[in-house]
Amino acid sequence: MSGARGTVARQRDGAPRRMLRRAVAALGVILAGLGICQLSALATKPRHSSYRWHLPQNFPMPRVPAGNPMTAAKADVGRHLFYDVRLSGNETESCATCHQQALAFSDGRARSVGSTGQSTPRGAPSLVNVAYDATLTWANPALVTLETQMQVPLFGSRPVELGINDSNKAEVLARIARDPWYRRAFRRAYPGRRRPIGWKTVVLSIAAFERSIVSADSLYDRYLRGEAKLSTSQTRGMNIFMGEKGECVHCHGSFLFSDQATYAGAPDERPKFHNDGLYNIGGTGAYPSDNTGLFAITGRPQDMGRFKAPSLRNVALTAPYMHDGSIATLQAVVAHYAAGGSVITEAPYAGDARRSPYKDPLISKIDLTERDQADLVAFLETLTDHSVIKAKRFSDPFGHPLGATAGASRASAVGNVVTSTTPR
Amino acid sequence: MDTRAIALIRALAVLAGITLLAATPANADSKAARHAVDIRFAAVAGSAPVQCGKLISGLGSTDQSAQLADFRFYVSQVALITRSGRAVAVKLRKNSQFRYTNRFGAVTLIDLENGTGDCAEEGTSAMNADVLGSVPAGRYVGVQWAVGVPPKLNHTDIAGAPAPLNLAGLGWSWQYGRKFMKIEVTEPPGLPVPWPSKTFFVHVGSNGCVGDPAKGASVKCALANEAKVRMSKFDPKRQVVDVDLKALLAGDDITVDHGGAPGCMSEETDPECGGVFKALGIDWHADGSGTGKSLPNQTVFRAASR
Repeated sequence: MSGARGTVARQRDGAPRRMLRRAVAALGVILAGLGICQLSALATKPRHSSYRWHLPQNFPMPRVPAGNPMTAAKADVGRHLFYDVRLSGNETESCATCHQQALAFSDGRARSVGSTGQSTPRGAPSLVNVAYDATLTWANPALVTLETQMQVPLFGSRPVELGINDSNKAEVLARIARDPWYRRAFRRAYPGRRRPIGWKTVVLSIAAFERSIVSADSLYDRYLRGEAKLSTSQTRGMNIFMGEKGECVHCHGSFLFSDQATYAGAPDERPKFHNDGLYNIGGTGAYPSDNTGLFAITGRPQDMGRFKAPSLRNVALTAPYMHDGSIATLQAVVAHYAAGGSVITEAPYAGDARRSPYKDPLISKIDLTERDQADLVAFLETLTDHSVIKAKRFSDPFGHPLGATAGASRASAVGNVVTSTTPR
Repeated sequence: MDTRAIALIRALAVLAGITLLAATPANADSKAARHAVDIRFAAVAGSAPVQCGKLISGLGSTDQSAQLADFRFYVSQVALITRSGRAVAVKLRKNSQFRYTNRFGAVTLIDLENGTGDCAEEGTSAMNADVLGSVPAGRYVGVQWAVGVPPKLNHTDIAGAPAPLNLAGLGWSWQYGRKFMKIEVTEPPGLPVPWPSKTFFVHVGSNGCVGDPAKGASVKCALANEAKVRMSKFDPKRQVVDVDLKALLAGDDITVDHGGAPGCMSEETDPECGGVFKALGIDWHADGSGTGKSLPNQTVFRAASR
């Protein structure tokens, strides 16, 4: 609006009629602008301009969906909801059950366990810097925002995660609405809304909290800033990782150590997925039928076993590894890539994945000595950000003991595996 | 003839003209010129009615008895067909628990389960058998519709969506959309040998979907998987549309799962989708080369007398 007024003030044209016409036009612009401002104020109140990102110095501005501008009030509501077991059907799990701060918001399991004891087909990915992920989950080009991804854990029934369904969703929401803290906080976060507490605002809030988990304060980052030195082993590992020898950066490049980083103003690139040479059942290239990756979405043979290359930041905290948690340690992951794929000799998944017809050509045998491999692991361990796992603003506001929500202990006792690729 | 008589004739002529005008398509939207339409669906197995909690026999390629666990589908693009073969869109009645219209399209949820028996897990007690709406007055001989949700209504959050798009049970969250059809049968109680795969799921929805990270949630799908049904002869007053579970499951042994999800969840290479998609008239091939386009030979829906 001030811009429009400024334009009028700068007019050098002295003809009074033209000036009048321009003034009228400018007034129109101002009024229209006021109208738009008021409308958007009703919708969200544009406090996002005042949101203070805690961005590391080499990190770009995250891409934020137009419908969910960041505010501190919203992210704070989201933080509470994220840790609140009342947000599951049977009040045993929260988002934090599978995304624990101490483990860089992963859960240490090969496959996560939902609130009714069903296993997900894949492991819970870390949420640190998830704001920059072009697609969410392990292999799904359809899920491009945290808001859309969240429909899966909230409402999915194959497998059940948080277990909110048509018979309990009103009750679950009522639990939140009964809490005076939420009533106040939602009103503050969504000041224009007549009914601030609803599923829509629950989703927007949790997404805002997740988006706020941006951090890069590892030894490696301090090294980049000239504040710390890497050991000889770490430096050798870094050179193998970044250089032509390891070529790890092909898939784990960028500030995120992945190849799906997006941000405000990022070029419009197609998100990449790779066959990581884990399976080649019977020499056909097949992956286990409950976990075929991108193939489950597209049905194209060449997409068999294609998954997202995840960010390697904090990777030392997110064991076990790969989409299905089938590799237990970082040492074993490095050995897998050094060999150019895995060989499985036992049924039912027997096959030499080094010779899979669908393996990404970038994954080939690398001549790495034992020392090289140990150095690579030493470098990967420098990517651990000890501040993000302790930061109070990302922590459990209810003070549950770390990693020991009621749901986690209860669910682990049940453990019934659902063999579906994706929740449907 | 005196002048008063002439004036009267003139006035009548004008009135007749107005009446004629009112009947032309230009005024087709005016209330008086529209006729109510009620297209009713009925769940059957062959000719026997189907409901939750009642044993259904003769299902699948191995002639099994089973219990219903769900029977819902979304209907859109509903039109009546004129004698000349022209499709005239049905405008739905005002939005309700089962109907929704906005500028992006219109959809009706047909819900033929009542949330009892094995339908209790994800079902609801409310039911709806009818597409209710109106068409311009005229003579119609047939009907057509699609089993699906218009893309801009389909790819939306379940949370906070208007009914009937707000049902978690019909969410197709992995493709950020809806299950167009959710029909499920499960093994009956007291079997001496349980089914190797306890429930046969028919979940039909768009697949091969890709979002645009730059635009947020905008999603496009390679495979629409919408069954488009056209009945060139159908009288909504005297007939109903039977939705035949027997025909839907005829191509599969409903007790076993040969791969992919149990039953058919629209995966491009799930062996059980061959039978289901053939019955629905959707192009599908075991090698994943199906186009997801509708073919004119579905066997699931057919006209029956009311």
